[in-house]
Parts: sequence; C-alpha cells; structure tokens
Amino acid sequence: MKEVLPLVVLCLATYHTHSIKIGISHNYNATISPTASTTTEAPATTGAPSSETVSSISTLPEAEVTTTTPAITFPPRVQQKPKVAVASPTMSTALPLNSTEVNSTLSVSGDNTFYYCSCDLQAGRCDLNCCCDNDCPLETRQVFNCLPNSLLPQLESRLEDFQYTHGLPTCQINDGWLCVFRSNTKATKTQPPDMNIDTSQYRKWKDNLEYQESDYAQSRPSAGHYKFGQTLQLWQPETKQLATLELPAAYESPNCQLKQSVWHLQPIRHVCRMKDSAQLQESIWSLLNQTSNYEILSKPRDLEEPEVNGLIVQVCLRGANKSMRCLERGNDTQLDVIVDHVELQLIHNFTNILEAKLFLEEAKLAEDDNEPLWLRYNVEFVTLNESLTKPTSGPLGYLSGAPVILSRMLPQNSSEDKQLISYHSLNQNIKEFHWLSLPSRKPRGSSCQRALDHKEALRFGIDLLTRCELRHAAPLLQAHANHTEYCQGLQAQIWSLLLPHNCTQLEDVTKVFVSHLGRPQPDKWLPMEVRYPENVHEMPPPVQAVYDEMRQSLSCRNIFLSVGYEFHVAHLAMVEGRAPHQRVLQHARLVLGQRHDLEFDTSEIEVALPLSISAMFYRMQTKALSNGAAVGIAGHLVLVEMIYLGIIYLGSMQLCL
Amino acid sequence: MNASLIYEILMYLNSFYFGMYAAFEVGVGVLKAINLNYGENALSREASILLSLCIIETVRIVFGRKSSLSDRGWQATASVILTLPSLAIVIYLCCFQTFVLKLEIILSALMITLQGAELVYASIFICTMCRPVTYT
Repeated sequence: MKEVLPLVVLCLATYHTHSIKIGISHNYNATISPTASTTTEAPATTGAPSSETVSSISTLPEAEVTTTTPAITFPPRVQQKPKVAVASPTMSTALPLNSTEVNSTLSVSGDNTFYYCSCDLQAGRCDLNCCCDNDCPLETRQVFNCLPNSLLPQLESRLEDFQYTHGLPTCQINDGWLCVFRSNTKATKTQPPDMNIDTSQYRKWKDNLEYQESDYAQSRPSAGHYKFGQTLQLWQPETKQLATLELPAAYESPNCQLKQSVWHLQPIRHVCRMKDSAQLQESIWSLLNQTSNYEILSKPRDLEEPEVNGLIVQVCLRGANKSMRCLERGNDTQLDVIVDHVELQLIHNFTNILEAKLFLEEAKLAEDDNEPLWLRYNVEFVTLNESLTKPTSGPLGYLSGAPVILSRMLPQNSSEDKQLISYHSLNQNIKEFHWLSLPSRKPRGSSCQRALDHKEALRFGIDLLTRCELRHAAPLLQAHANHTEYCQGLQAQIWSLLLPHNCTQLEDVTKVFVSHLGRPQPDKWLPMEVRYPENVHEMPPPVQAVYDEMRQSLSCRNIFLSVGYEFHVAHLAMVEGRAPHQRVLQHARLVLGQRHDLEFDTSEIEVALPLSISAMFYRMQTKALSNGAAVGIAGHLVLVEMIYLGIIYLGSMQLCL
Repeated sequence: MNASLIYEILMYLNSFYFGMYAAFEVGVGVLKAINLNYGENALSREASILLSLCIIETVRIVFGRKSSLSDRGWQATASVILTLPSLAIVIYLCCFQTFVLKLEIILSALMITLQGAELVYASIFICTMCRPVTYT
C-alpha cells in the first residue's frame, strides 16, 4: 500500500500537464523564424536515424539557444509564405465584385413593391382572420370578421398614430430638422353614456332567461356556413340533439376544471394536470364517448333542412415510434395504452368542416411514479391542399422575436446565368434551412450541439452569448503524421459550429446573405461581411501546424475559438408611409475573435476546446434616402421663402425707421 | 454697464432675428397646412395668432428702437408692455401648437431668450429714465 501512494501522488502532480494549452497568437520576430524553420524542416528532410538528427541539431549554434530556454511555452511562429500574401489582395478585391454582381443581377419583383398587409405573416398561405391577405380565397370574406372600410377607426392626429407623410415625419420615425417633435391634438370626445333616470328599474334582479334568449338570437347563424369564432356544433343522430364541442380548459388552474368550446378557425392548446392515471383515463374516455356518440356538423344546423349530415370523427392512435393506426368505429373507446396527448385535427375550406380526425399519442411512462401526469389538448385547423410555404418573419419588416432569415448564393451553371439566392430559387428544396442556428449546450453537460431547428434559430432583437465545449480526439504525436491536416480539420469542425450551417471555412460565409426584411424580397438581401479586427483589409492567416519532436508536442496556430454576429437594425416607414415602424436589418457582420495557439502533448486522449459565440443587435439612426431628399427639398424651399420674406420685412423696417 | 446701450444692441439684433423668425414661421405654417391634417378651426386660429405676433412684435421693435435712440420713456414703457403678449405668443408657438417641429422649438427658444433679455434691460433702462435729473 505504501508503494502505491507515491504513484498516486505522482499522477496527481502531473495532472495539470494533461490539459491542453491555449495561448494567444502573436506576430513573432523575424530573427526567431530561421530557428523555427530549421526545427520544423529537420524531421521532414532527414530520413536518417535519430543519432544523426541529434548530432545535426547539436552542431548548430541556434540549437543551444533553443535548448537553454526550456521556459518557452510555444514554439516561435513560422513566417508566412508568399502565397498567402498574394492570395489576400485577391480575396479582398473579390468581395466587392461578388456583391456588385449579385445586386445587379437580382430582379426586382414589382408585385410586392406596394403590397402591405399587417396580418399577413405567412407567405403563400392564408392567415386566419386576415382580411387583407391576398393568399386567402374569396370565400374567406364571408367567414372572417372583416369590417367595412368606412367603419375602420380613423387615425387620430396624436403623435402615436401619426404616420409619415411627404416631408413631415415624426422625430421617432425619421429624425431631422423638420420632423414633428410634439403633437398637441386633443383626443376625440366620447359621448357620455345615457343615464337611466327611470327608478322603476332600480334594484331589480336581471332576467336570466331573457339574457339567454338574446344570446341565442345573437349566436344564431345567418348563413349556411361557419363564421370565424363561431362555436362548432355536434349532432347526435339517435336523439337528434344539438350540442357544442367542448374541451377542458386550463384557466387559472392547471387542473382544467372548466371547459371551453371549440370555435371555428381558432386553434386551442391546453395542458392539464392529472392526479393519477385513473383520472387521465377517465378524461380520455369522456372525450372518446363524446366523439363516438356525436358527429361534427360541417356547417351550422339549418332548421329548414330536414336531413342533417354530420362528420364522423376518426380516432387514430399514434405510437411512440411515430407509427399510426386508426381505430374502427365502435372500437375507438377501447384503448389498451395510456394517452397523454390529444390532437383534434379539423380539415376545412374556411366555410365548412370537411373532415375530423382525433389523434391520440401514446404516453412515455416516467420512471418515477410521483411525477405528475400532464394531458395535452390541441385543436388544429388545416386547410385542404395546404402546401409548404417559405419562411417569413413578419408582414414586411421583422417582428420582434422572429427568426432572422438567411440564404445562400446558388452556384452558377454558366457565366450567362444570373446569380440567384437559394430562397427565391424555383428548384430549391422547400425544407431547406433558412435560419441562423447557433450552437447550444447539451442538457446536463457543457458540450456543444447544433440542431437545425427553427426553434433554435437566432431571434430578431434578442442578444445572446453562448459558451460551450467542443470535444475532439487528440492528435497522433508522431513525426510522420500529417499535423497540418489535423489542425485544419480541427478548425473546420470549429467553423461548422460557429459559422452558418453548411459553412466549414470562412470563404463560405461570403456566399451567405441575410434578408433585409422579415418578408424576403429578391432585391433586399445583405451580404454577411466577415470582419477581422486585427487587420481589417486582409483575411486572417491560415492555420499552421508546428511539431516539436524533442518535446513531443504539436502546436496548432491561428485557431479561432470565438465569433460574434453583429446586426444593425433600423426603424423605417415603408410603402410610402403605409407601413410605419418597420424593423429592418441594415447591416450584418461576422466578427472574428482572437487567434489562439493550441499545444497538444502526448498524454492527451481527448481535448475540450472552449467555444464562444455571441449575437448582438444594434439600433442605428439613419435617414431613408427618399425621405431625406423630400425633407431636403422642403427645407430648401422654406429657406428661400424665409430669405425672401426677410428682405421684404427689413425693407419695410427701414422705411418705418 | 450702460443699460441703454445693451438694450439698443438687443433691439437691433431682434429686428433682424424676428424678420427671419417670422419668415420661417410663415413658411413652416404653409408646409404644415399642406402636409398635415388640422382639426376644426385650428389652422385659422394658429394663422391669426401668428399674424398677431407679427403685428405686436413689429410695433414693439419700432417703439423700442425709437425710445432708445431718443431717450423717450413712454415708448420704452410701451415696448416693455408689448413684450409680454409677444412672449406669450412665442411660448405658445414653441410648446402649444397643434404640431410643433423640432426646428420651431429651437428658433422659438432663441426668441424667448432674446425677448427675456430685452425685458430685463428695458426695465433697467426705464428705471434710469425715471430717475430725476441732477446737475453738478
């Protein structure tokens, strides 16, 4: 036992040498470079035995300097090759040319120039209860709650409602000398409510029957179809009774003691807490009994029609492995599994309900019996022949919290083909990822993970900072190994986490574009600029590998471990003032962090690299070019008028004096 | 300190500044009438207020300069009295108009400062004018 103790102490003492050494990269002096080049080239050029290698190093005068300075942590840097210097100007000149070509070849879509609908949040798909959406069929005008134009509330002349007009914007929209700084318009006077002076109605109870009758009269359908927000009706063919479809509602309590009716075209999401599995089963059975005994009416009941055709709710069971089997009618109340997710899917054509399906998802049993059971209710309205749409993040500008939209430049097949953005390509995959997904920490750990999911995408206006670790296998510290390939592969893996997806090197970022608007347009894309703070006019130096045979260590130089995304946001009034307060992106930049030198030694099996990524949104105060020109012209006119009137006034003053 | 001299300098500066100020207000008034929506009688009310300011300020400047040149007390007193409504109108244009532009606020603030200084030095000048004449 005493013999083992020194070994344990020795292992603990050398524990610190197992970790990777990370240092900041510097520009080394030229005098040290010959020594480094000699040290690097010796293993590559000489294939002789080790005795000859040792003798050749010991005979050189610089070798003594190297051996007498064991305190040096990192070997000196190898001088950059001339090829890198030649390539840098080429890369710097290529960027403006590419951006110019892209801007010149992008076609302007005239249809979307003056189209603005504040509730049209999905391109190519009808938004529910959105009356100005061009994607909605004409039948929706009868279903949605559309007010006539004459009944639309007139904008008051308050500063909050003030919109841009030619030459006189508010200071919040377009700050300038002739902007409206203050508005002292009085609010519209409201008519005082009529006082009931009939004392015979005082201190009397309300007639509930009269209230119910009036409510029923108001809810009576006036047409042969459902309207937005109208309660869906159930029909029992045996007893010929009408009922309403109701689901448990989580209101002020997770126990769902109340019930809520299902309204037309209004999705419902409720999560209810169950005491135990018995209550869970009871809730499911209650719903299944209702769906088996009743049919959903495709349109409101018309008393003049003798026959009523209802829709049978088809019950389908969705397994844990996404398998699905539909139950036959009559057997849908017999379940042999525990269900924790109920989804009622209603297929419609906006006026009528065409089909109804009830999906039951099998519950994943928890290991701990004391954990509470949660039952989720979802009601989804799906249109017939619904197609996938391109992602959008707002009606025109970005909505706060909406994902930032990215796209990339498609490769050119020939020189005559126009440069196209993949977002607007007709042949592009509809499921292509058009957001900026950032790495995140794995649950219960610090490792980096990256999921191509829109829920993990960068949100507009939300700053974030993420730190995580990249675990990578340690290199083979042998003379014959390809160390440069290892270092470059390591940097490529880091880039795959820090850069936009499908980018493994910095040159790929130049093909990435950020949408200027929340609803992308062909001529409104911003190139992602790569900024290297140490030298703005050049690209960063390439990755280098330096192997020290004597110390049996490998150094990877010029490694980047952190990046920062910078977005500059502006608030503009667009579509000739009809779309005020639109948040748009004016500039997108990828700022590289500091360069690092990583040193690996022989005792490492796996290394953990600390990565850092940040995203910041900056608000910039700029004037729109068209608005600025109008204000400028107006300002000049006012100035000329002032001078003219001033001259007249001064002349009259002189005459008076 | 010679209050009469300072008052004369202020009145001289004000005669030019008010010319520019009045021309600017008229121009901006036309611009606002074209581009903005006014309520009932708001435009006519503000136009009449601006016209009143021009008349009052013109009379005040004439009286003030004549009084400082000829050392007449009653004209200086009239100038001081007319400063009050003129100042009130300028404050209205600066803060209580239906739509106030940023440049209007800046120019009105300068006008208020100038009129305030004139009011102070005019009061001092009137006090020196009312002092009995003594001979040595």
